Amino acid sequence: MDFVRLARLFARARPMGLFILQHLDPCRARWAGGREGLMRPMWAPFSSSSSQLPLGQERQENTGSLGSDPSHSNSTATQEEDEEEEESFGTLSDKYSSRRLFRKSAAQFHNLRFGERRDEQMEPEPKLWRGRRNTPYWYFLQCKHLIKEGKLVEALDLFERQMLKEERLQPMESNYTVLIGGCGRVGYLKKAFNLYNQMKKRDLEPSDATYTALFNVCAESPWKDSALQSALKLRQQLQAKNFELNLKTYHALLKMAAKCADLRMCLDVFKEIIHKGHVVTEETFSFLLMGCIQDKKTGFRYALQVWRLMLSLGLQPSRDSYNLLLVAARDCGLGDPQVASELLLKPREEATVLQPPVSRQRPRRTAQAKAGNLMSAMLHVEALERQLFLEPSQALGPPEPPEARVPGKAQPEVDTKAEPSHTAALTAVALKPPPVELEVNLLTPGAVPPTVVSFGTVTTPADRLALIGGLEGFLSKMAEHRQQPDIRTLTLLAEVVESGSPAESLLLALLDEHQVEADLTFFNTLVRKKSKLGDLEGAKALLPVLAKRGLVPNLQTFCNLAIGCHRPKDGLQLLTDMKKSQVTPNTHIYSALINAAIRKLNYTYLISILKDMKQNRVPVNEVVIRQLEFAAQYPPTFDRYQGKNTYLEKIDGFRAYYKQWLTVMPAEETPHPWQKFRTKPQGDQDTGKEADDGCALGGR
Amino acid sequence: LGVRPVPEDAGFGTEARHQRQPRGSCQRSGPLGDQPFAGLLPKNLSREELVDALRAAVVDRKGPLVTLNKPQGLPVTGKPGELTLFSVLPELSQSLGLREQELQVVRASGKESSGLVLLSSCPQTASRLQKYFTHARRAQRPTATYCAVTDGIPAASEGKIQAALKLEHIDGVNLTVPVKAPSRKDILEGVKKTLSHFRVVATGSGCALVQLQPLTVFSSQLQVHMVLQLCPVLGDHMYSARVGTVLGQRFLLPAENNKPQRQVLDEALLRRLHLTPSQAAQLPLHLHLHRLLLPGTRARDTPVELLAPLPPYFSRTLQCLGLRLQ
Repeated sequence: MDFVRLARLFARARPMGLFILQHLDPCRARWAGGREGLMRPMWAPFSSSSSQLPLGQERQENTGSLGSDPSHSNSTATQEEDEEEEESFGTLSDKYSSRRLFRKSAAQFHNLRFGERRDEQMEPEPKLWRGRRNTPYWYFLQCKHLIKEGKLVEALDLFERQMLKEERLQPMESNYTVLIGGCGRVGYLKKAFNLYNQMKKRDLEPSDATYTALFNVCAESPWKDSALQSALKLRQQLQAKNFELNLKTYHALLKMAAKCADLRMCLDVFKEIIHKGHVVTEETFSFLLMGCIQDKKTGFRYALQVWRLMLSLGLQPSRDSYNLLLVAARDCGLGDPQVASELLLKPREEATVLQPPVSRQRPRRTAQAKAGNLMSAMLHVEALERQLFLEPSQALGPPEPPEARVPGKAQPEVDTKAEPSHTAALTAVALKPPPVELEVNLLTPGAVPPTVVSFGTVTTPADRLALIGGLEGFLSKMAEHRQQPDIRTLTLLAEVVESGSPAESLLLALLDEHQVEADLTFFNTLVRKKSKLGDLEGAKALLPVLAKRGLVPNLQTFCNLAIGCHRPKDGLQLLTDMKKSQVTPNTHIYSALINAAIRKLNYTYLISILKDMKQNRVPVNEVVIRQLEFAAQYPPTFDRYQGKNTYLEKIDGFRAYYKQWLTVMPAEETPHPWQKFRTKPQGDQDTGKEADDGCALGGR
Repeated sequence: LGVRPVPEDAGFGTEARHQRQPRGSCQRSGPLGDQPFAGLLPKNLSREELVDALRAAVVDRKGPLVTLNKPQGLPVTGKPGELTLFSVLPELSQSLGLREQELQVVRASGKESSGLVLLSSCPQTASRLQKYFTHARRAQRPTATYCAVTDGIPAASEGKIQAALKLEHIDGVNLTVPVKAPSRKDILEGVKKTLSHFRVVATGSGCALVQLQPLTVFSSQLQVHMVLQLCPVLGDHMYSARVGTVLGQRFLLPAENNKPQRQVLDEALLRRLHLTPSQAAQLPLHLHLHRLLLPGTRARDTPVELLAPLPPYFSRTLQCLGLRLQ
């Protein structure tokens, strides 16, 4: 009977009601099953109190007046009991007619209902309070603790089931904010905004931390476009309300712009930060560097320009800044060589930019001085923005205005300009690489020798590392800013240095020199590089080095070894050895072996891998199927009737086995990024954990 | 020094007879099938038999000091009612003719290893020797030298092994687990930094004869240290499973996940040792406390060296593998 009444109550707000109803029975069942016998009597008062709630609301709906709410006399209680008995035989037509009435006056009635709910929740509170001692602040601390341990599912369950439904506490803003922050760590956008909407419905005022967490969840979301839309919408709402963001919230917004949009939006946010009078820090520039990294073609040049702006503003780069610069060197290109040469190799621009910082060193005593600083910083940013997005055709334009501005020095500049222009034209055509003897470090502003007039071919991460000093130069730059490399710095350097170079072997010595505790990711990077070069012996030789440092290889180590197993003997031996060591090969291992076999066009090897995969019942995922579909294709110039071809016969043999193999193999779906965070029964959680492991391995 | 007394007891005589056979009959598999590991204590030993065996194992007697060559598998101390060296000390004292004085243990090798046990009937002498060992340990001077046969050859011919170790109760067994980068809190909770010196004496057949000198004391320290060098001790059925092989290259497996299991040796090695796989599963631990340094009578005297001969199965293994103790 209570259930039916609850159903009637929540049927009016249909989607919300259905959502609650879906979870009501499991919660109750869990409560009954989990508690001891002594706890069962305590459930009865909750049950009776929950049944009172819809009764009161229904009565209010019928009468339509609020007058009887504040008074609670004995005669009223007696009347309630009588009405309850009458309503149990109540007519359905009355309910339907009242629903129609509710729909017609939606806005007013919604406000009334919300007010009623709040008032009525005050009544049962004294009874509930005796049985429980927890406060909203206690729940805030518990959720915070769980989120720090990475248990977002448990935190959400504690909040939604125990705090709201069982204890029926009124949540505070901090309860919501800490959960939104937890969703932000993993990019659980849907849940975060759901919580945000809930707190608004409860008339709780969001704080700065709430908005920071919301922008953070947009930044970390797996789907960039919808996250960008949500963030822009939220930003517009805040602007409409004239809400002033603090620097932390701006940093989260900047991070969102860096990850979901592009560098232009980053600069817009950056200018707004300066306009609002916030003091930018190296952390602000770290987010700008993140924005540069999103541009794969020109991001390295952008990063260098942002770097120079940071130095010119007198900020000390942090270790994170240096690590982000290495990510740019690893992932991004230099863009158009001519534009890069114009912007990065000309000392005149640097001299111009360097002058304003002197004025910044004045003591800030008056508002005029502060305004001057703001204007100066804004001019810097706008100049940077213009330089960042120069088109190749505009590259030769900037030299003109300085000449016009200084007519007194026109002739000497013309003379100086003629020679570099002439030489630049020649080398631009030839694209000669700069001399090796010259030590160029673009991290030092204005330090480029005048004989260097243009960039040559800069295509590999090692080339870009050379532009910022190479391994030793980069580390000495860090030391210059009193920064010590950590394991992430050295891992990034391991990815960027040229394979087989002396710098690569020097990295192991640097671990000891800087007293950096080696971790497995660093060695996995080295193993992967050697395997990709086809140096399986070199990759294997790193295993004893691992053991010497007390490290145990994981599945990713074996996956990286599998990349180098081009010969059938090596690949099948790897699988056998892994099983002998009780390490179960997973889909990624087989995918790497399949890739190696396809590259060698060794169909016998490929069939052996598929047989092993079938024997161990390893599920197939999309990546593997795509690889095998590619291998099963006939070459474009295929002509079956032209003549006998041994190679084509091998393809036919493989196709026959592959199609039969595909029918008996189990398949694995790509897990949804948010599946593991849904509060589901135990079995689903186990599945979520497996998906989590898969994701962790996949996201290398 | 080192001269073995003439065997008088029938039990030891039986062992002596077996001892002669392995040297002369390495090529014959028939007799080896019955007794491939000579020198081990038989199962279900009685107290009297143990006392007789220990009396026969006396290597040296000088003043109050008695030197035993303990067989592998005999614990020195244990639970009440368990048959240990400590539990039969009164009887041993009686059988050695020490009427009033009672022997006490000054230094001994662990249960799983074989080798030298130093007993003393004089409390003052025992106390003086204990102080000497304590001072030597603090000064990082090794006093005990073990011999071990390892499956695999260490990369370096000599060096130090440093590792932080702790005892963990895994599946009902107390196991020693290495700890990477222990914090201060870890040290307070039972993690101990351990140190051993090792030197490769001889190599052959993919195995090595290694001298080990522990500078700290921890349960199964030497076995775990050799595992960390990717060369587990021959006959180590507790920790050798932590070394895996992939594409011919050895690597460490997680210590927490690996349960103790019988050591697996490759076919070529089994052939050289003339062992069947089932016999290899019963292979005793080849770890022997071979030499112990004692202070001289006066402070300026050079240390006295006590030696314990290798067990018969150990010598047989060295002979089969072509390793020689120099």
